Amino acid sequence: MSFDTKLATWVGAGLLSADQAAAISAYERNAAPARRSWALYGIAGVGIAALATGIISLVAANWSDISAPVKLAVYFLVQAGVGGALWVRRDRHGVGRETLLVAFMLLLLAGIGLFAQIYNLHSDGWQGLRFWLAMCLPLTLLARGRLAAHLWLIGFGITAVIWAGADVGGMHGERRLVQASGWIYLFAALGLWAGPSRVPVHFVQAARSWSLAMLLPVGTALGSVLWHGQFDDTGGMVRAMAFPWLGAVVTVCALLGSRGHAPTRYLWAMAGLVVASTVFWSLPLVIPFSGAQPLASAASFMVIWAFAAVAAVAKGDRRLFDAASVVMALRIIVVYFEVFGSLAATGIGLVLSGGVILGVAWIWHRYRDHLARSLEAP
Amino acid sequence: MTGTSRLHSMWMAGAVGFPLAAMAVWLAYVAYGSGGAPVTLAVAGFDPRDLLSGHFLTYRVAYGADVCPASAPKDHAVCVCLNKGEGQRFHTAAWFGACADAAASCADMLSGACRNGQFVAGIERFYFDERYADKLRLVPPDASITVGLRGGQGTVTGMQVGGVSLEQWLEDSH
Repeated sequence: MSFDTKLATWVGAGLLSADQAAAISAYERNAAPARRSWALYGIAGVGIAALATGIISLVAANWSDISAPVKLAVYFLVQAGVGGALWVRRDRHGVGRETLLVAFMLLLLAGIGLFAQIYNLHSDGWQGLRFWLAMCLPLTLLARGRLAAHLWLIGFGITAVIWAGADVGGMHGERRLVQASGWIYLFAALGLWAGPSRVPVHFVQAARSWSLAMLLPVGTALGSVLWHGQFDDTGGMVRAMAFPWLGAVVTVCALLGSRGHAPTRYLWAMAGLVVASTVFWSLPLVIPFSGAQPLASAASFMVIWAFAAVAAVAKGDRRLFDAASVVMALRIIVVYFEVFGSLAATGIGLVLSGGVILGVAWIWHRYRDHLARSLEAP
Repeated sequence: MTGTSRLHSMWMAGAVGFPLAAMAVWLAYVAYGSGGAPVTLAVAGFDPRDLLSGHFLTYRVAYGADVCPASAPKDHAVCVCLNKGEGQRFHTAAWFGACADAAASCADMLSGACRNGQFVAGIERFYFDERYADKLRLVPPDASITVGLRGGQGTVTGMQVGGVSLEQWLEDSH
């Protein structure tokens, strides 16, 4: 439905007067130049991408014929040139400054690769990324857009995963992954702290987005897999858990210390979410279950997402509430299949399965608004 | 210029200057290390599939001894004292063990660690031109590497096949 059609519908329904609709329409038309500038950015972006691809192709075709000193000299000239252009635009706002900043960061990564190639340097990969993260952190904190913060945090996550998978330190990959998860909590503490902070808001928002993505969809999915596994290295796992548990305590402290700066119900719900998710993935690693525990796993999973739903309502985040309730509904369907197993695939089982799925969908559709309202009540 | 603006400029100068300086220092460090005492080590074929590394030839360095026996502690620093005997073409391990026990008198010491029963010193790959990717799916026979040694750290500075540089060997046999 076009915007003018919507306006006409609202005028017809008596929500707007014809004058108000005309004023809104005129305002939107005047705002159009801003949208056109984005179209211009898009066209310019395509042109720059084509130019860059052409230059890269030319360089790549003659790469082996370019001597190492020339490669290094050109690299430093380009890196310093982009850095100089960024310095000139340091006080400005807008796409130009942020593009230069991100280009400077990506060029540093390319430079690390170039040095490694010229001097045949050999590593597991995470050392080079760690060097890049250290060099780029100050720039990331000076960025005025979200792109640099997201890029840095994605780089951090990739570095942690490569580090966990690398065969160094005499520690198993699972234990290293558990240890690395402590960083998720520290970023969650930074992102969820609602009090006064000197950390740039874009970095805080990006830290909140990524840490919650790791704790909720990724963490609950991976945690569910753990409940079906067998782990015999309990002592080693407990030692590896020290860092993430400490991170969880820091996150809860950050949330409870934010009282007065955010809705109290939201803060308690988020604290409950952090504790529940930590217990969820920790339990199967330290308690040697005799087999899969579908009901306990599903119940714990639902508790985490219930906390997310309460937090969403307290914050007025309708999309998160809908997502949490859909995930809970899907988990009910999954646990039905987990519990009844092959029986669910028989003729009667399929009829029952269809009934369960339709029933869950109907309950969700019928009661989600009622649930949201009841959670909103003081 | 206001105080806030001056502070912002200082931060930005540091944020742009610090990576440039760090890259320059790293380059100087690597270049200095590669200019150290050259040693020549024989290399043997190894599984060359290294999908993440592009056109790098990965190989196993032949030290002439089992530097990492099964009893060797995992990931502990291990040092190898290299020596080239009379009439030998390549350096081999004259001594190896924990770096803490290494003799200061060793002129060509290479430090690394034992991983999966192999001594790893960061010299186990060599970049080559992608034009020769088909020809270098396997390490050529009679291959060796030249390594610059400085402070126990090794940097690969060249690769040879049958005594000639890899580039020359590829051109000659093309």
